[in-house]
Amino acid sequence: MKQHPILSIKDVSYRYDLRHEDYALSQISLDVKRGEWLTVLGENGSGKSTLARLIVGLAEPEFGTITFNDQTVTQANKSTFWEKVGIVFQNPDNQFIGTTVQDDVAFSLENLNLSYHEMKQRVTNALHQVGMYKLREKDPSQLSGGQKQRVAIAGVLALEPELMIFDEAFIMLDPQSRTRLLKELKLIQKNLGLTIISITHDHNETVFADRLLLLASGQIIDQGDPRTVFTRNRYVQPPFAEQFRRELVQRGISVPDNYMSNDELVEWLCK
Amino acid sequence: MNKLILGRYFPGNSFLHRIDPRAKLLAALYFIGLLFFVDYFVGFIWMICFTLLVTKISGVSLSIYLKGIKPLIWLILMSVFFRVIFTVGGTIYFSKGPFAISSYGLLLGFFSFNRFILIIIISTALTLTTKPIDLTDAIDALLKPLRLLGISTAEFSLMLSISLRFIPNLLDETQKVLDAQRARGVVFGEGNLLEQMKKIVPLIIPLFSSSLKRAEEMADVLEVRGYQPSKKRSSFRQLSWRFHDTASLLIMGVLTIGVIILNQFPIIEQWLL
Repeated sequence: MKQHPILSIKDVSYRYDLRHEDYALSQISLDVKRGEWLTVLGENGSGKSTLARLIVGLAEPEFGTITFNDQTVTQANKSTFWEKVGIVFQNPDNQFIGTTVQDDVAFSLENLNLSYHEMKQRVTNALHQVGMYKLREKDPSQLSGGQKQRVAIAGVLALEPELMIFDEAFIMLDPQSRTRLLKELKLIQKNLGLTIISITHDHNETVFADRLLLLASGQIIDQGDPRTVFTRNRYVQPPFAEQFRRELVQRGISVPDNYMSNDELVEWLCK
Repeated sequence: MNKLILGRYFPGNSFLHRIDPRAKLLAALYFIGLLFFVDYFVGFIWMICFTLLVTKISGVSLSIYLKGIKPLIWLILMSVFFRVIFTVGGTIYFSKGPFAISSYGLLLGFFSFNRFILIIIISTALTLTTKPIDLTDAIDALLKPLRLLGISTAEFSLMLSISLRFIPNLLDETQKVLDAQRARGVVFGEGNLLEQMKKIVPLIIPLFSSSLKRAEEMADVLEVRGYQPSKKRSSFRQLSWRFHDTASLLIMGVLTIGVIILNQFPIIEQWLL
């Protein structure tokens, strides 16, 4: 039996200013499978963040429908979805509400009106998952960029969501911290069976994706597994490993003519 | 900006640090109210002794409290000065038109000066020994009865806690804008009052603009994190009331009895007037 998508977007169009014909998103249709990691790749102004805002209910599509777990999301019922769909934004400084790490993680749980013991347990689990438990009493503003994003992620994980959206959440981190955090997140995703939509313009983030979606000028250009998308769209800058592979091919070295992830390329080179 | 001690928190584990913020806030407000019922000189000596005791048990050096008074001293002296020259009574030492310096005026000036100083010291003791967020919780707890009248105090306390949370960000941002302006050749703190005010404008505008942007993002975050003003929320931060909290409020009773008794003895006043 075919599994129902956790999120289904059908013919969605959206524009910020109804007086103009410029659509930020135009006729977008997309299904997201439960437990998959979808990376949405696009340049600035391609409509990536608008897509995230529509999914979490911060904006309402002008045309089309968004369905989460077979229920259509509307402005009237969006509050029933917020605990199942979490979002982490780009700037962690603007998303902290609590004055300590644990207070901030607990904020959403307070909104659920949970008991203190339940909250304590969930906050502890979430902070352990992102490796921030030891810093739970710290003021979030005193943390490093990577630690701040970990706290923001814990704030969403504490809700035990089904879908997590990262809206350019790793852009402000240095490459090493970004890769480390993404690797940890991949593990968390596998352990919890989470569905992740990662919105980015960093091509290197696509190595963690099960599926890649290319967005340009508010429209889907292509989608599929990263290997196929990068092979089909040669003009799109691929992650470092693929760039390196193409460079080797250009220099006459015989390398398989298809997309390779970092690990695959290293393995091939070692052979 | 960094000279103001009032409103700062000094981490510590003194007796005053350990008292429940609700008890501390109630006691501080009560003390400030009580100051206005002190009629005579000996009563003020009693209140000064109590204040010194509070500073001692706060575990914070008295010099820190005095530093806290320093930025406000001219404001205090000015209001005391007006109190002195517009009050006439007892022996008049100097008089010109509506102004006079009299023994009664000087005494009332002394009382005003003491009230100001003691209010600042007690408020400073409260904020130095209480985390801002605990103080917010205390305000929320004390305003709870207003909920019976349909006033949403939870929103007010969330507003307070978010404001407190953004103070370090705003200070950082102010510093960044200051540095950016300095890099473009603006010299702050020079020129006459009008020139200095003009230099503040390019500082205020970017700060306003970024604060509005921040507020917009915060509104989005509140929404996606499930905050609904009308909905009941639980609280992760728990306050616990213990015996020494009750005892600290009982001490206010002792202080009141002292004031009532000492209000019967205008010893210095009889000698002066």
